[in-house]
Amino acid sequence: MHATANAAPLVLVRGATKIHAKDKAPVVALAGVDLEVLPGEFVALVGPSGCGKSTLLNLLSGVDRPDEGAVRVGGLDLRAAGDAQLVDLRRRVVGIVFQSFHLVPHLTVEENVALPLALAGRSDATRVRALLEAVGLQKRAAHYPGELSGGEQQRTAVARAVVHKPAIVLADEPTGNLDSAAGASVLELLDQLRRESGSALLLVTHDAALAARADRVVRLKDGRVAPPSVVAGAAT
Amino acid sequence: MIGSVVLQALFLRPLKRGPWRFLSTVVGVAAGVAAVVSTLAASRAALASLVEGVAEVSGVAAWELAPPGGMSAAEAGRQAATADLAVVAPVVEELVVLEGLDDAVRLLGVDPLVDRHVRSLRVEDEDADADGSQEYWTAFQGLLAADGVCLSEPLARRLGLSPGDAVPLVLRSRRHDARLLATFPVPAQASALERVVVADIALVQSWRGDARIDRLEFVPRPGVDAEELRARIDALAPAGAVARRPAERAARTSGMVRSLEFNLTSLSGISLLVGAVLVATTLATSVVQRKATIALLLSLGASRRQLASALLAEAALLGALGGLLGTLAGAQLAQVFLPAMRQTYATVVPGAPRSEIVLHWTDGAIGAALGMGAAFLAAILPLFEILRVPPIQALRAERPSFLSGRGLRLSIGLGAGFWFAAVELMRLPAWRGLPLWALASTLCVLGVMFALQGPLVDGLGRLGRRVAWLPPLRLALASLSAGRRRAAWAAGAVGVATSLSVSIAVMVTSFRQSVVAWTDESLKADLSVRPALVATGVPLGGLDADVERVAVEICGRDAVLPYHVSEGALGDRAIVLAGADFRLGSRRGPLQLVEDGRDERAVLAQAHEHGEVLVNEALHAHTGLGIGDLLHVQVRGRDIARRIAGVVRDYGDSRGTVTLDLPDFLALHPGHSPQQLAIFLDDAAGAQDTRAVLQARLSGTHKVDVLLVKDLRSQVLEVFERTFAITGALQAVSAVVALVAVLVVLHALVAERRKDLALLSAIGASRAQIVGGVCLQAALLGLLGAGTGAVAGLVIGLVLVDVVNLQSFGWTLELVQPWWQVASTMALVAVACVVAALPPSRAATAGRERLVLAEE
Repeated sequence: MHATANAAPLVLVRGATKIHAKDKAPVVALAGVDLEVLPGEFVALVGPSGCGKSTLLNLLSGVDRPDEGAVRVGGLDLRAAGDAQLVDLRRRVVGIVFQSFHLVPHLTVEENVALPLALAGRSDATRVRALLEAVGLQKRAAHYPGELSGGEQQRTAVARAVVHKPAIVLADEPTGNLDSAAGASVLELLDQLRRESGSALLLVTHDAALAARADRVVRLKDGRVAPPSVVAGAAT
Repeated sequence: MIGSVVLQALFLRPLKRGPWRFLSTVVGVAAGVAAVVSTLAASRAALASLVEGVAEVSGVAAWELAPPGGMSAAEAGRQAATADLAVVAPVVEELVVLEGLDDAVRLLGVDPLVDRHVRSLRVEDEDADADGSQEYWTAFQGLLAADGVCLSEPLARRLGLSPGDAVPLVLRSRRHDARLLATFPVPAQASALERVVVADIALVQSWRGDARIDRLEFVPRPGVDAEELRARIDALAPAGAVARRPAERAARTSGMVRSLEFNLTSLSGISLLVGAVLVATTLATSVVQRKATIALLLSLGASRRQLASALLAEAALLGALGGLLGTLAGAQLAQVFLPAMRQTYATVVPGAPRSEIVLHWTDGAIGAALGMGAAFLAAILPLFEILRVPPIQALRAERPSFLSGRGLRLSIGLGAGFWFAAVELMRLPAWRGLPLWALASTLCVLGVMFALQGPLVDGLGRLGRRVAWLPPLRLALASLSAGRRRAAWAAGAVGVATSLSVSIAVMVTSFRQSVVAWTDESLKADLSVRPALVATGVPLGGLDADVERVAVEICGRDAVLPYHVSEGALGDRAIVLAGADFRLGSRRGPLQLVEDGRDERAVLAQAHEHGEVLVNEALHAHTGLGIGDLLHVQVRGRDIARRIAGVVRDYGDSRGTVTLDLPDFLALHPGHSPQQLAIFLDDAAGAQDTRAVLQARLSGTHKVDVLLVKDLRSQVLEVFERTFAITGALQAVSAVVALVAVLVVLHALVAERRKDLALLSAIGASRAQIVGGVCLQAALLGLLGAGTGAVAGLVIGLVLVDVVNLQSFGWTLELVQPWWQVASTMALVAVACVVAALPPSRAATAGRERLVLAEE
């Protein structure tokens, strides 16, 4: 599913600035970043280590707030949003995949996948089973994360990120801890599932090959967005 | 060098970054140590006036002759034959109340002419010679003026008295005005001599209306062999009496409260036990939280010995700091405990004079040893944990840890072993009169509870896999399961505190109910006349003979039942010898027989007719003597033999009492005045008026309480409540330690799961869900601990009531399970656990999400 060119942006970042450790030696993580992501769009966020990719993702998921500038996701102004609004954003609008998987070790695979629904007070066993089947883990449903390989854990995390059909999936180097084959397989799965869900995808990656699959690539350098470049196959 | 690096990495650096857990554990250990040290110090101070003062007041006397009930002048005169071997000093001793002090002090009646060789009471006199010898002699000669007394300087200062002033004192409930002749300095602070009033022996004898001498003290003349002197004294002594060292009297007195002291110290030890659990929990948490670091250090070449040393260093520091702080806090706490302790001991030995808390260096040593001991004991299990960490741990993914079948069997086997030991121990008789084995069995019951915590927490964790999909509950159960060992320790700590609370509730409720039933049955008189209460809440001494005369005059002979108390001996055992009018008693029925199916009035009538005696339950329990047995008692230099007619319930004495019919008693104690009077009026409605008349007649000359039956009952219950006040205080200390344990563990569990909690937050968990999950976890922990603790407490309560109490005091009590208190204790504990969870749950929701997204 491709982005709708005329739709209102799902993500709108204007002049976002974030400075870490202000009381010690200040580190400028973001220095006036502008970004838009349209509904259903697949955007790759690339750049060297320390350029502010993860910080930007933190701002978009509402776990951090910018020092200056505006961040809107799904129409919500995250700089001004209250706790309850941020919780609602995470429950409905955003799905997250982490580089280190971050599954709850004492819940089974099935419980981990169903967790976002359960936290929102919902249950959808059919969807959970379908997702487990889609990521090839239906036979591992009762296992604990510690009993899975890295690839299997990340597939579980992918299923969890889309189970509640979020408007956007934020993926922070989801293949960083996997070998290339497993990484490619996970990304394929992520792309496929988010298309089925109609979700946008903002993928942080170092891997040029993975970035090449995106509709659009945004480069960050020294906390700023580098001049835009359009990669082959990207829709505008 | 490597060792210090390991210490830095494992202990010092984490301590610097997060000192709260370490500090709260120190506080927990300190509270436990403080409970023990304060109990010991307060107990020692309460005993000091009874025990330590004896030797001091006895001066340089090598031997003393103190037959139970004292001796006549003739019997004492026979010892004049020892005059070539020793200086013989007669002494009468009474506890008196000094008006304005409202507390007991010793009144020593001495012979001023010979006492200078026994006691070094140097009386201050402005006309003193330079060497002071003359002043001593002069001042004591002043005693021969016969209406004067000498007080210690501190006591006189406290009362604002100077030589020449009147000293108002109350002896056997009668007010006397003596004149202060002089004051004497005391040799040291907190000396027993500080609380001594010295008077001429004849004056004291006249005050108490009894010419008997309580004891003779012997100071050997130079070159005399002490054993030769002893043999001479024994040869001349009244029947059943032998010469003893003054210290032996002290030991006998302390022996009376030994059981009580032992039980209280054991009770305070529970707080230390909870403190030890806290240390174990902290150390285990340290190990578990730093498993990855431990594994890393192992893989980098650290030896397990170095790791174990670091852990033991942490334990040592915890123990030393906890011990030090605990000792200091204990000294302060002892001041708070002392009044309650004195009241508790006063129920066994009435009239203990006031005493002060003095901290000995040994208290510091005991505190440090207890703290370190608890810490090292607690370090054993974490030590095993640290030794088991494989170097590959850091690379391992975390898995849920459920108890293996072997672990389950081991835990249940351990629990069964503890149970078996508990049952066997509680069947053993007392050890040297102390309920040592029974108390050990209560520890075994706690052992059962601890052994089963692991399987129970595991069961909860497994249950979590089956519960309906309620995220907070599921997550709380999963979290408990993840920190199974720590959770089990914490539940154990909560369980110990709960069991202590429940068992004390069982004991106190059973005791209270039994005492209420006993007072209802025994206290049937319309009025009771007894000496006024002193600061310790017990009546001091007996009544003056005039009180009985006035009561008889107002109410009639048959309305007044006097109750006399004296001392006797049953072999080596000091007992109470009482006298009551069985003839009148058989009509009034104020005794409560231990259930033997007989009518109490018939038993009293039979005892009156055949010259038999009644014994109380304590004597029956301690000696095994019962109905029909012939009793041989030494009293006032005579051996008497009486048959036992019945065993009576008596919660007022634990030494053992033999009650003789009044004529029999008075034949042995001519001119004896009663301890108290029970007055039965023909017209009960007139009790209030009769009381007013009695008070009006007696108030000017006597210090007595004339009580209506309902007031007497409530006074008895007040004494009862005060007696158990100390247990309540110890219970509170233990509860505080347990609460700290729960706080430490919850903080640790939350810290351990911080990334999970942050993750939950990042994917949509609300603050309320996170806080709810942590609080639910705490509530589960609390309920588990409280539930198992309550069961253990009920069992321990049973042991305390049926075994410890019987072995300590010889009383049978009706076992009452206070279900309402048990339920409210459990609810309170669960709520306390939830409250304890609030700080960690707040920590869990503070800036949590970034933790997840910040990849390590």
